[in-house]
Amino acid sequence: MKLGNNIRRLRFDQGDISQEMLANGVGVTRQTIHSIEKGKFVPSALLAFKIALFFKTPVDQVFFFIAE
Amino acid sequence: MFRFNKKIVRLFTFTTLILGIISLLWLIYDYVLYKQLKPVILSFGELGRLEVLAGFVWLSFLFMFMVHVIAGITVLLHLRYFREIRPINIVIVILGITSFLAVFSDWAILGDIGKEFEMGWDTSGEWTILYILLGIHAVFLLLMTGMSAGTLRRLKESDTEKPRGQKDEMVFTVAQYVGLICGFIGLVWTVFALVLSQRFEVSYYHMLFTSIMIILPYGLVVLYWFFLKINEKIGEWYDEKQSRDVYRAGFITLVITIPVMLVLFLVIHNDALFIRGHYFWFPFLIFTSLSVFSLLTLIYYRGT
Repeated sequence: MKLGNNIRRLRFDQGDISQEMLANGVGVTRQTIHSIEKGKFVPSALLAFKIALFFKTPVDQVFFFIAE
Repeated sequence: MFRFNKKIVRLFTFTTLILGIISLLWLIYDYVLYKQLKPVILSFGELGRLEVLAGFVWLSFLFMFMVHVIAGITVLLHLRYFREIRPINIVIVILGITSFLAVFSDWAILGDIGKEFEMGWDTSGEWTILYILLGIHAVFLLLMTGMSAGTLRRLKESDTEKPRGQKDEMVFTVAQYVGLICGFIGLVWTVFALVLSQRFEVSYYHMLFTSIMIILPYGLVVLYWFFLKINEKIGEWYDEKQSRDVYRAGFITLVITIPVMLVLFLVIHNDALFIRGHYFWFPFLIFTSLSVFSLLTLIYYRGT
């Protein structure tokens, strides 16, 4: 199982939010957001909820499982 | 939290620009003097007024030392103000550290030339190194001066400082680059000094001084980073990915350095390599750890 995400889509759907803006909003570096978006880094539950809160979206709309 | 405003950035940039131009002119003076001095020294001639003029070369080393320190602060201020790492920044950091360390080499080599001249020894090899070091200074100063001029123009165009993120990644990344460069230079120097020590005396104090000088740029960047973080809780110094990358890099560095330590122990215990100067193990270990740790942190942080 892998963790997929809709962060990129959500960023563009909600008005071209940059990775940097999102990073500042949730208190991490831009590189961390980049890695999460690319699926290279699995965030903690706390960070996942912070990101969902930033987009005002339920967490399962931001992150989802991908069956391998 | 300490904040850098535009005036401070502009002041340091302008100072670096002026000092850079003066240093470049001084380098030309050094080059011209070397050109005159070299044939006289190689033929063991009379130095005459050249000896007095050479005094200004020594003075230029002190000046260059100061210029490099100010240039280092300016580069850090630029990184903090513009919040971006461009390839030119990395090139300048690498060249800056090399050039900074080369100031001490200039000093040592010119001193050696003076001593060997008095003893009647050939110094042609030392002159070649001196010219190479002069070239390194020139390239660094040209780039630094150019970048300072460009930054002054950029500062005119941009009215406000780019907003600071909650988690800083500029100083974090630069610290890894500087660690990698210092570690690598230190490793090369230690191996070179070890080989040299089999024929010549490389004293404990000489090794200690050069090792401190090599690690100094990294120490200053880490100190600067620590200064920025001092008001934050330790748990908040890194974000969760940075923490993971640092832990992973630290663990693998430990795994790598244990066999390195074992090899060093066996080598020293059996007197296999260290005929003179058994103290080489320490800088070797420090620089190996620093290089591996910084390289791995960079790979994990940028690559995953």
